[in-house]
Amino acid sequence: MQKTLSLLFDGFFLVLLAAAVATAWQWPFATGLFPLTIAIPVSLVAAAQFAKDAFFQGGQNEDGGQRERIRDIEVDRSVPAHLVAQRAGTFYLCALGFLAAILLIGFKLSVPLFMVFYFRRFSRAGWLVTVVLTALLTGLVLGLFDAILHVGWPDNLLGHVLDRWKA
Amino acid sequence: MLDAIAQASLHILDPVHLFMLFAGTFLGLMLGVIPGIGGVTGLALLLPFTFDMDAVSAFAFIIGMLAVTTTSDTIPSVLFAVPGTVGSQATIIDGHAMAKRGEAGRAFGAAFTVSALGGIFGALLLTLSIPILSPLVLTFGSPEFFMMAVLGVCMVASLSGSALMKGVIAGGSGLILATVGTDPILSVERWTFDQVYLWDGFHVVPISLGLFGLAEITDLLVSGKSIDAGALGRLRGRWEGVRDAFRHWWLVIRSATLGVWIGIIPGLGTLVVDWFAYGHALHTEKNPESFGTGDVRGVIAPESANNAKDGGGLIPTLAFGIPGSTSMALFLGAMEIQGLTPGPEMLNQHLDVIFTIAWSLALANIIGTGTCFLFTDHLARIATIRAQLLAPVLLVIMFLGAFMARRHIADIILFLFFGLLGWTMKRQGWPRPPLIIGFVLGSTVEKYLYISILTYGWTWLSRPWVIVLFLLIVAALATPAIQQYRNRTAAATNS
Repeated sequence: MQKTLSLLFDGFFLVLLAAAVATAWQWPFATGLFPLTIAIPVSLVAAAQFAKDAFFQGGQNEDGGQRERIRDIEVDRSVPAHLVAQRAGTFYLCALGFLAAILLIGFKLSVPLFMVFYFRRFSRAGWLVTVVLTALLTGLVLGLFDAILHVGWPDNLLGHVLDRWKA
Repeated sequence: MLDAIAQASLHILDPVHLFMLFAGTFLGLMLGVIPGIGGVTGLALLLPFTFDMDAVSAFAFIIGMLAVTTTSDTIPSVLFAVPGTVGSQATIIDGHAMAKRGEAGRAFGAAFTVSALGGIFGALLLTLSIPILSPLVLTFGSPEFFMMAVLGVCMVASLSGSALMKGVIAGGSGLILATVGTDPILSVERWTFDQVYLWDGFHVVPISLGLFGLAEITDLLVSGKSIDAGALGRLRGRWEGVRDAFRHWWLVIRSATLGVWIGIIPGLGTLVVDWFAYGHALHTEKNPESFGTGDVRGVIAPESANNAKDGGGLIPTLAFGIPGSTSMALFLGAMEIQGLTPGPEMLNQHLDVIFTIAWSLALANIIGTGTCFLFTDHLARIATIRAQLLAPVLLVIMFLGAFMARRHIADIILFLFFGLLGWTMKRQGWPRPPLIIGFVLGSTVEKYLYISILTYGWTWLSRPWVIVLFLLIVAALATPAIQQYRNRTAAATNS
């Protein structure tokens, strides 16, 4: 499983870089020179990485195999794989839901609704914590971003419908 | 000169000046904590208020705000791995690892101390350098800037650890990402897919917020723990952090000098100063293998440099009227509002204002650090709050930060995409820093390469500073390989 994931990820970069070479090849010389200078050698390295993981190294091992030492924040690997997928998936679905809410009802309404929903459904927070934190963040949105910075919020479906209805 | 110094001393001690400096500093500290806002938005926000102020008060207000956003941006970087500004990305690597180990207090102590030292060092160099550094700055042209940017890209080698191939792929992909938009010579569209949003390319804020911030919050939720799981006893480590800062004084001076120099170079500044300093520490410090695991030197180097770079950025702005960054361009705007023209005229007629600016910079750093220091222990306790409570708050703040980059909904989609990419990279053992370094340096490398060729042909390759920088690049590329060889030899000898 880990090897398949590893190969898929290698393949993602390989395809991306190969596509970059293919499109940059058709541009005028000055436009394509820099992207090609980078993309050609790097796609060769990506191909080598793919081959290395596929044929020589057997991919990275989740269960004690020799993992390359990278300079980045360490990953907690004590959580079982199915829980990792479940928890990360749930969080990303919530983030996508928040984005959908912004598009539907706008930033200013989405923030408090999302906060209350998340705190009550996933954080198991009490009402006091929920109300205080939601009020603080809503205050930040309305006070700093809306009143002081005069941020032009993105169009939303609700606003559009209300405008049409008023007209 | 003595007259100017005396005049500047009077300005600095003026109660109105001090009040404006405090006000600007507190505002800067607050803006630095909120991802995606930072100094540029703050400056744009403050400019209209300076119309009715005298020059000294206006600059105190602005410098106060500008100087400390890179002090308080350490707070979200260390606690949540969410970069407060783009200048604190490198701090995440070791700072957050320290927070996870229960050493957030120590990381803050070290970061705030070196921020003040770096800021004072930058201000000192600004004061001394106007007559000394100006001729040196003028010897640097686009070929040297190009070589400096290439040197930055070459740090990918040392930031990749033992996964060099993956680092090269990530760094190269970052460079390719930077070419999205219109090309700098013919303005031909590259990978824009007929979308106006892509004409200017991608913005660094949603990418860095996603790659580091969202990815870390996801990982935190996956682990189901607090950032610092069960290390309450060691939260009060700020004095240890202060001692660390003075113990590594030579690293502080080197990183701050590097920060000043990067600040001088147009187009680099905040975007890469922290990575340059981190890479420099990796290359020059003993036992570099502990970097990335919560080594305090990984916090000291970027934090010294990112506060010192403001002093560097002010050198070309005040001496030649050339702003090296967006914030310096806005600062230039503030000078115009006050009727001051930077350049030789300012050096001759308003030297007192230059000294006041430099000393305000130093003072703001001291005030900012002192304020942050007061709250260090309380801030460190945030690391013990469980992930499920932090996640929605941070998600909303990061959504706002990503949106604020260009006030376009597509930036939020970009942020979510890079969040997923960053999380996958992390879990698959791919280094993320090379991707962001490649991205932030890509446009600079391409721009200066074209300008160098168009202006000098190929003769730019024989310029003395270009040769010096080329040798440094060779050294930067060779060092990790030599270190790996040494480690392997040592391991073989031991076994």
